[in-house]
Amino acid sequence: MTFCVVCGTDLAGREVCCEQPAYDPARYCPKCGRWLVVRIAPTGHVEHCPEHGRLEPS
Amino acid sequence: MTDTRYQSSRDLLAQAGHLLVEQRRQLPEVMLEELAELPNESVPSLAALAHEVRLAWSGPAVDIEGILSVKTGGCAEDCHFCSQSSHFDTNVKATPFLDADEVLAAAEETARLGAAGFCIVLALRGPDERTIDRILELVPVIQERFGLNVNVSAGILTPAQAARFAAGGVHRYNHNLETARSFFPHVVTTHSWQERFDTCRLVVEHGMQLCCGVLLGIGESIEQRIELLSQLRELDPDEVPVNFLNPRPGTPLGERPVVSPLEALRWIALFRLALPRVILRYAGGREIALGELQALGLTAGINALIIGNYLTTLGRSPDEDLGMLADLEMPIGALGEAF
Repeated sequence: MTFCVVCGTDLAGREVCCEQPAYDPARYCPKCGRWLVVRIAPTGHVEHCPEHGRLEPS
Repeated sequence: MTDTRYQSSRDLLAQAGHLLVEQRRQLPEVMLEELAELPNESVPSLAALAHEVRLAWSGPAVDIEGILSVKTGGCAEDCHFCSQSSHFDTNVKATPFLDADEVLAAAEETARLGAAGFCIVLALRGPDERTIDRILELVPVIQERFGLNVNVSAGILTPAQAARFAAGGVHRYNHNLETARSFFPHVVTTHSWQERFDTCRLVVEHGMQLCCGVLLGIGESIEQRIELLSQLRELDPDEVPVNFLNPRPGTPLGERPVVSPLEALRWIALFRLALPRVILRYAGGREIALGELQALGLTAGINALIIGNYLTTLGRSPDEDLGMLADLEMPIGALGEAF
């Protein structure tokens, strides 16, 4: 992971940036830091990066 | 705690139980004020009374509903607790109205879980005609294909819009008061509490069931929670979803503390005692407010829950909630009239 999924900041070698709030999906792409389109349904959720496509569930 | 004080707590609970269970009368507001002041040691007894009241007025069934945000973010309103407001720098990306296929797939998932209802939710001040058209295209399909009651939450309504939703088969319309009239201007400035109240009235006047939720833990006082209960009684909703603030990063309330488990249980019980016949639904924030104690809410007056995920945040897995209901030996069933 290169970018923080909570705030989109370049981790620049760090392992963590922000603490991901409980019950929150990723909001930024871990590969490029772009804002994700997040679709949340009752039984699942999908995060989609305009550059990297659908994120694999972590 | 002195024996005298303990005795007075027991007497107060006995009086409340006599009124609610034996006489099936509502509690006077002054008694709700006294119950709200009971010491923490009495919260389990308060919860036990609320459970008894729930069983006496509504039976053991638990109503399950799934919700879906079909239009997310970009909202012009400034509700200080909401990550979908365009006034605040939050990490929720705005997305337009979902495709019908996505909505139907979510409704199908919800039906498979044994839910009675499915709520279509939009982040906006109020709907335009095209938005109403799109919602009303979905309503009969979801009803007929999946056997679900279709509920809608689309903001402030005009009388003509309420009439359209009612005629279009919407079972229950959600519009939350959120908080007491006296506190509302502290957390929302782009519309008034009265506008919300008026929409709630329109829902009832046009023959839809009213779902009118609350949000606890946004800085309101105990007195204002009692005030809110009084205002809800005036509306007499069919359903009250109880939300606890999940502080959202970037919103003005993003740093507020979370309601404690004991406080959450106390107020669940008080909502049941104040609104004995209502469908009292577990909603957003229960996971973070109650943590491992979520089963206790179902023995403190709750008789419905939103299953799975919420609008912009995730919930527990449906299996956990269904397992909890099985452990409690509470049957799943629809509460309120079917469509």
